[in-house]
This record gives sequence, structure tokens and C-alpha cells, in this order.
Amino acid sequence: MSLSFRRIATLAVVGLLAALGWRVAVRRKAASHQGRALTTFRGLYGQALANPQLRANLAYYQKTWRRQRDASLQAYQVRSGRDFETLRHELAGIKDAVLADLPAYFRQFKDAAVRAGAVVVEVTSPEEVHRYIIDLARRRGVSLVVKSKSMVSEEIHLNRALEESGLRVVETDLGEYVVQLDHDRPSHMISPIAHKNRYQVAETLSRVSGSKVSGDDISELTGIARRQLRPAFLEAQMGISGANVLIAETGTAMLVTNEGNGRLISSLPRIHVIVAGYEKLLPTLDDAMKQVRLLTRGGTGQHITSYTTFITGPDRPDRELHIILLDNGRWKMRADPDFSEALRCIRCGACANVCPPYQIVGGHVFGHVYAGAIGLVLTPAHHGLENAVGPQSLCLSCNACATVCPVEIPLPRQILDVRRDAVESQGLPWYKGAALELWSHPRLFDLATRVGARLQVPAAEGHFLRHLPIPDQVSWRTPPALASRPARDRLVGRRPAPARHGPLADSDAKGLRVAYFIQCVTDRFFPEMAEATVRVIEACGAGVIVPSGQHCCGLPAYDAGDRPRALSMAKQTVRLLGRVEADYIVTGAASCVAMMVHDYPHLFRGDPEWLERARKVSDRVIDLTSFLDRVARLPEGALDSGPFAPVTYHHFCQSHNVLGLRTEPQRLISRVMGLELREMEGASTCCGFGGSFSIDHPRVSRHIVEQTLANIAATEAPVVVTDNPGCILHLRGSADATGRPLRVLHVAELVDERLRQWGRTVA
Amino acid sequence: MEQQFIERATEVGAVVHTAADSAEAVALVARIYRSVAARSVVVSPDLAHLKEPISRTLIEVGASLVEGSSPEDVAEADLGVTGAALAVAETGSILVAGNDPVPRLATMLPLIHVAVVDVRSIVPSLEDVAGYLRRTAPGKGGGPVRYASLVSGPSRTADIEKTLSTGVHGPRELHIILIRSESVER
Repeated sequence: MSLSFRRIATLAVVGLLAALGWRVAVRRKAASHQGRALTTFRGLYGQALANPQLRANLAYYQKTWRRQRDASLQAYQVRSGRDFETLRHELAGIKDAVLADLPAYFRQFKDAAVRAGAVVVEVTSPEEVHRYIIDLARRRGVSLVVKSKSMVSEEIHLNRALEESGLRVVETDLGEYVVQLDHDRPSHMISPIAHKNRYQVAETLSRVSGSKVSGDDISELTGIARRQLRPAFLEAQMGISGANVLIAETGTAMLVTNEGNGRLISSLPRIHVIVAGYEKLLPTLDDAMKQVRLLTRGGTGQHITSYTTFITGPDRPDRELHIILLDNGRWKMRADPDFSEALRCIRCGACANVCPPYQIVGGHVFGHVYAGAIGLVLTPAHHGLENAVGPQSLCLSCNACATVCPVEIPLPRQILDVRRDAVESQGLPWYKGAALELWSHPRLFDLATRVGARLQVPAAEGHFLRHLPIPDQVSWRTPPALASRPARDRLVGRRPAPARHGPLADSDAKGLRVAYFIQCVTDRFFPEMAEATVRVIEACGAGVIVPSGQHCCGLPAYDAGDRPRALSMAKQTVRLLGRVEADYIVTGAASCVAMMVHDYPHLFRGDPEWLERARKVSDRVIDLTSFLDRVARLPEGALDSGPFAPVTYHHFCQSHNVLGLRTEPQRLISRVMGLELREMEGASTCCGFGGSFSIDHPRVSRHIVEQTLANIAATEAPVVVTDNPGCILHLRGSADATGRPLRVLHVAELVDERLRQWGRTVA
Repeated sequence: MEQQFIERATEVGAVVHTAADSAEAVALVARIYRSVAARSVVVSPDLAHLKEPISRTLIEVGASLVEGSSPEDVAEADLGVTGAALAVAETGSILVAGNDPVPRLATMLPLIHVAVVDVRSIVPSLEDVAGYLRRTAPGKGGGPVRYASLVSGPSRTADIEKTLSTGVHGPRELHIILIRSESVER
């Protein structure tokens, strides 16, 4: 009997792996098939992953940006007493007011600009912009056009259209100039050649100037660009730029540059054409100054850029200023409650500068024409949903972008809405559809994991599955083994047993009744983590009940863009937890808290009744760290149980970025438990797990987790602590596969160990 | 405010000099001219009463002055000397404002830009610049100023490896001479 069971189990495991391997092989074949057409997402994706230089360039770029940006905001806060949160909230409010009343602000702008002598036109499509400029150029005998950097002109592929009409077009921003010479595309809104290093630029400039430069000296490179471009500025009959702001009260266009090319193209040629989206409108000059403060700090980390130019009509009677306002999907976006906030964007590029997958694949892959998080949101509006399908899959939902956006755009939520639209139009990948179908049926899911736990026996070794023929692409993470007894079997039906004695028994949580929400990964893979969580809560003097029938908050489906299943799973959880009598609902999975507290309102927004039911549940939901910090209010030194290894802390990205847990974990570890906490670099940068992300994009996930592991290793702490089971699964598996002797603990497990240590010390 | 302006302007890469009076400012212009090994100079008409003494002194130290006012002429100059409408303590910027192309081009085309600014034209913040632009906007009775730029340090780029490099299209160096005692009449 047992022999035949083993045989069946082995066959099943081999079958499962064969299916996985087949999937990988199919994808490989598809990738090589499309290799010829390198502009497809898959082609660009493969190219980017094969380019270690790109990753290195962007890692350096992001790190430098972060340092400079934080320093400039900090300096402004010291001087003015106003912090980033205050500044961005104010600017977002101004932007919203303009968007609410857009037609009126446009009329005000147009009247003032026309009075000042400008020509203001409204156009719907990119083609209309092309026609307008080409006609104007013909009528005025223009042959050479110089351009200042403009994302809108990229959006409408202006250069190509102008060149096809016979005009010579010269990009004058250094980065855009290099991009143009290389027949490349900008990969970042502010820094078009963030993907290239100095030697790559030197090659291009050597070719165009005819003199060989090494690239060692960057100022030599800019010198060449200066000499090459100067004649074009002087000869051109037309200059084209975008605008950073269109100021309604005076009809002024504001242009922000560092190089000074914006001033040259708007002063030297006889005709200046500005192409801008309606979202660039702001009511007053003062509002424009508020934007300057955030744009330059968010864009480049500067207090101010070298040149901030204000143009109100043509400066002389013999000159012309044309201002073209472009729709191209903006009015539709404005009317769409899911996406209207994206029109607040001021094109600073900050969202790309903190994005872990962007750092690995670059802006040509993470976006379309517009790159970075905002690119994933703008692409469907300006370039069609089909061009967003591939790029949107690269979002990890780590929410880092939302923490730096200077106009509070809810980028992570909007990206998931784009994902929802992508899934509605293209369906789910088969393996995700199958997994979610199973997951959305609590009984089937339970059965499947129990059967899986038995089938895996031949391969299971401790917490891992070993000796399996795993495809190369995913071999960097040892897969976890399902627990033979899930947490629910160990905990459901237990009686509350709050501690009467012990170091934490008199905490502020004493006497509370707490319901414990297990979470799927904890339940099926890490039941001992669940038991530790319950022990910790009860050690604080609270009694814990573990409701039966609990399943999944719906996050996996929501995250996959599968709204119908997300809704049904969320409803199941709300229904169940709504009946639970408890002061708090605590979980050790901060991701579920983020889902229930921050995503449920959006998920249920069309349904007032469920919205209210969900709110009643989420009002009581809290993650373990917050519970210990805010509810139990553990005092300093309460659990200083003696010597322990030094630890480092890895913030679960959503705990840090969504729940706002910044200093609480550190306080708990070093103050309450008296441990030596060694700060790791990038402590709040996502580890690359991202739920199904690590299955959809294993190679990207691998590069990200390698950085996380390297940063942990650099602290030389033998223990890393975090507060989400997803990170733990990911970090344990990848540390194991790379042979790192690292202990990865949940906060609950660390507190639990300290409690036992305290018991031993006292005994 | 003067001190704050000097600090911020220095932070954004400008070199700030102070002059007790206009005579000292004129001498400073000549000193900068010699130190940067410039040959030809454009002296902007917006310097008003300082244009004549600056021009004279520069000729005395061997400079050739650009006479024409076309962009090509101004582009010939290695050094441009101009005034400024305002200086901003918050950002260390100067405001180059006006519709005449020559002063503007003199701040854009030469490799070295020297701005002579009265200390009394320093304003605290960007909101003061907004106020100035509002007062001088076309149709509002003043100016009108149709073209104005806050100039904050030299022309710069960090497009390559996020490494700062100056003088990409405009000046590689920006010198600001603050005159303490008397106004630069406009």
C-alpha cells in the first residue's frame, strides 16, 4: 500500500514538474520566435535581461537619485518647515481643482495667451499635431527644426512624422540627441539615456563628430555635443518644445531645463511651437512655483534646475508662438474615475527611480513610450491597452512609487486596474486561471493542499522540496514544502488562554479578545509561524480565537487582475469575519491587512452595502507589528531576555509603503527586545516576491532577491526578520538555493523565541 | 537675505563676488575676464549706466567687444556681461527678464556669463518672482515682460551616468557680482 502510494506520488510530482517545464519551454520557444521582431515586449524583455550593463547603470542611477532627492527635500524641510507630504498634498489638491474645471481654466489660459499674441489651438489626435506643424513649416519655408526635450512629442511620434515630410529635426537635449543618433528610444522621462553608460555615449559621439573620444571624461562628451549642436540652434527656423506648466492667469508657458536648450530653441528660431497636454494647466504663477519645488526635487534631486523659463506670447513682433493643446485620450481619462488622478502627473520620473523591476529591465520594457509606473497607467490611454499588457505584468505592487509621487497619484491601484482591463480583454495565463479557480473554492483548495502535502512526500525534506528536476529559470529558489498539518488543524477550535504571568502579560492588550486570521501561505507552508503568532498575542494578555471556515482575503486574485474571483473571495472573508466577535482581527500577514484595509474600498466601491460590511471588518483588522506597537504598547526593555544574535530587518514593502510601518519594527527589535539591530541597505526595497510575480517573471525576481540577499549578507547578521510570509517563503527559498546559512524569521517567531529565552532565564 | 542668496547660488554652482560699489564691480568684471582667459566679450545693454564703464575697462585690459546684436555676433563672444531683474534668496537664482534678445543671448551663448546684480534686488522666494511676473505680464499695464528665465547656476547636464557636467549648451561658468551700495539703474 505504502509502496504504491509512493509510486503514485512520485508520478504526480513528476507530472506536475513536466507541465511546469513544458510551460517554460513553450515560453522560451515563443521568445526565440519573436526574437526577430525586437520591438515586441517579449523581444525587448529578453534583450534587457541579457544586458547586465543596463542593470548596473540603472542601479547606480536609482541609488544616486535617491540620495540627492532625499537630501534636497530634507534641506527644504529644515528651511521652510514644510515636509514632502505637505507639499505634495497641496499640489495634488491644486491639480485636482484644475482637472475638475478644466474647460474654464483652458479658456482663461487661451484668452490670456491670445491677448499676448500667441496662437492657441486644440487638437484631438497626434496626426492633427503633425499636420498643423508640417503645414506651418511649409507656409513659413522652414527646413530645419530644433527640439527641446518633450514627452508629448515622443507620445505622438512627432520626429518621425516631421522627418517623413522632409523636415530636418535635431533633438538638442543631450540625452535625446544621443537617442536620436542611435535610432534608440528614451528609457526615462527625465533622463532619456539612463540605460547607457559613458562609454556607450562616447561611441556614438565619436561616430558623429569624427574624432575618437574615450568617454573617461564626461565633460569632453558634453563639449562635443555643444560644438555639434550650436550651428543647428543658429540655423533653425523653428523650435519645438513641450511645456511643464501652462499658467492660466497670464497665458504663460513654463519650461524647465538644465542644459539651456529650451531657452535657445525658444529664443533663436523665428517660430516657437509648444505642444502640451491639457493636464499642464495650473491656475496661477504661484501654483507654478509650487510645482517647480517638487518637480526639480523629484526629477533630479535639485532645489531648482538651471533654467526655469516663462514665456508669455512671442517676445517680438516679428516672431510667432504657437501653443497646441493635445487630447489624445486625456479627456476620456479625465472622465474615468479609475484613472483620472493620473492626469495630475508632472512627468518627474520619480516613480521609475524607486521601482525594483524597472531597475532590472529598464524603461523600454517597463513602459511603452512613457516609462515607469506612470507609464503603465498612461499607455492604455495614449497608446492602447495592447501596448500595456506586457509591461503591466512587471509591477510587483510594492508601492514604492506611491511614496515618492509628488502629486499623490494612486499608481499601484491604477496599475492593478490596468491589469484588470488586460485580463478582461486577454484572459488569464492558463496556469494562473487554474490556480485561482482552485483557490477561489475554499473546500477544493483545502483538499488540494492536503493531497499535495501527501503527494510531495518523496521530495519533501524539512521545509523544502528537494531533488526535483526544476527548470533552470526557477532553480534559484528552493520550493517550499506543504506542511503535513496546516495551521488550521492545529489552531481552530482552541480555547483562548491569555497569559496571566510573564514579561508581557500586563500589556495594554490585556483582557482583549483577538481573532486570528491565519493567511494562506502561513496556513499551508508555515503553521509553526501561526502557532508562534498566537502564543505572542496571548503572551500580551489577550485571548485568541481562531475562526473556523476562514480562507483567503482575495489578494491573489486581486493581484492577478481577476476581479470576479477577488470579489467572491473577499466576500467570503468579509462574511466570515463580520460574524466574529472580537476586539481585533490580527494576522501575521501584513499583505492581507493591506488588502482588507486599503484595497477593499476600491474593490467594493460600486456596492455600498458590501462596502459598509467590508469597512466594519477592516476597521478591526491589524497586523501583528502594529498590534504589538499600538495596541499592546509594549514598553522598552519589556522583553530584553539576554544575549541573542544580531539581527537585520527587511521591511515587507507594503508594510512600509502602504501601512506606513517605518520605525515600529526597529523599536520592537532594538528597544523592546534589546537586540542589536543592524540596518541593511535597501531595507524597505521589495525582495522581488510579489505573489505570482516570481512565477511570471522568475529572472527579474531572481536579480532583485540577489540584491536583497547581498544587502543582508553585508550586515553579517545571521538572522533577518520581516513581517510577511511571502517575503519569508521567497527569502528562505533563495537563501537555501544559494547555500546561505541565513535564518529568516517572522516578527512573531522572533518575539516567540525571546519569550522562551525569557522563560529559561527566569527559570 | 544676502547671505542666504550667496549660499544658495554657490550651492547651484554659481561663483558669487561682492562689490562695495559699482567701481569695484567694474574692476571685478575685468578680473574675471582675465582669469578665464576670454578674448571677446558681449556687454549687454541691460547694464544701463554700467555698460559704458564696463566696456571701457574691458577694452583697456585687451578685450575685443562684440558690436553687432545678431545671435551669430553674440555667439562669437566667450564672455557675456549682463544685469538681472531680480535675485532669489530661496534658490540662488537670478531672473533674466525682457523682450530684447541681446541680453538674453548674452546669458545663453557665451561660455562664461557674468551677471551684475544690485543687492537690493534680492527677493526672498519664488512667490516674489511670481509677483514680479504677474505685475509685468502683457496686458497688465507694466512691462510687459514676455520672456523671463530664472537662471540658477551654469548650464548643466547629468544625462550621462547622473554625473554633473556644465556648459552643455550655455555657460560653463556663472559669476554673479553683488553690488552692495548703489543701485544698478535700469
